[in-house]
Amino acid sequence: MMGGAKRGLTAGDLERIHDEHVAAMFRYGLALLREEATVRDLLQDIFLKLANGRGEAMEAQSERAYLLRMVHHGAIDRMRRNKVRRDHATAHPAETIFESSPDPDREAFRQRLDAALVQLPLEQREVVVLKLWEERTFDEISHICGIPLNTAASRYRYGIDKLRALLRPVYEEL
Amino acid sequence: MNPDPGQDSEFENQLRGMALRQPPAEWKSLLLPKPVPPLFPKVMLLGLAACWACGFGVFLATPEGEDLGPPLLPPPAEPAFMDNALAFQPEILR
Repeated sequence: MMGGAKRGLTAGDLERIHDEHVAAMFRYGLALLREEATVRDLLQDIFLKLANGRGEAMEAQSERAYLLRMVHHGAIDRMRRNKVRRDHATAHPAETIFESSPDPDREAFRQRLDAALVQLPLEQREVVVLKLWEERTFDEISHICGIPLNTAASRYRYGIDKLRALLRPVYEEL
Repeated sequence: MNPDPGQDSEFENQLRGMALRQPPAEWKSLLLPKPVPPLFPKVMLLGLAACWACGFGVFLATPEGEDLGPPLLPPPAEPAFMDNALAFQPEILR
């Protein structure tokens, strides 16, 4: 679908990509960078690259994986450049991937979950977010993060175990 | 690694049920690059094409041997032009 076009994607293609994938790209970027403004800059860069012809290798069935891989690379670059990685734990608590809830119990759980998620190592956090909330397969996750499939699966398992341990008191109350 | 798979699955389902955020709606106009205006707008190209077509039509309609200079002598049937009294010639009136 996108194949072969060196000229870049059309305005229509870009709008469709935006409408179908930007929410997943936004949440994945936010899970890595924890800073909305940085994620916005990253997504702007990605859409600019797509407009300039970086989408030529994209195939319809793995479009989202391709885009998430671009988010992964862009976020890692930014963390190295701006030392966001060192500071991400002190990011504003509102900059989370979860919607706040009017129900106080759910909201308390959301806050604890967000705090627990921040405590995971970045490598585990991104795999957990991709698997649980973006519903990617381990095969896609290994492609997105550039890791072997078994590593993706074990990082997910370690991450879930750690989340379970951190959230057990709250989870048992619900 | 996972001592209680059943409970874990229930835990995972609980986590999956969390409502997820969407990017702010106003980001759409920021993320999509602005369309670049064409160097030669379509109207201008159409005008140029019309001009070239007219010029070519005039070129084709112009005969090859056409003499565009003024006539060397006035037509023989016309009387001489007299616009003052010094030029009066009564023999012409007879």
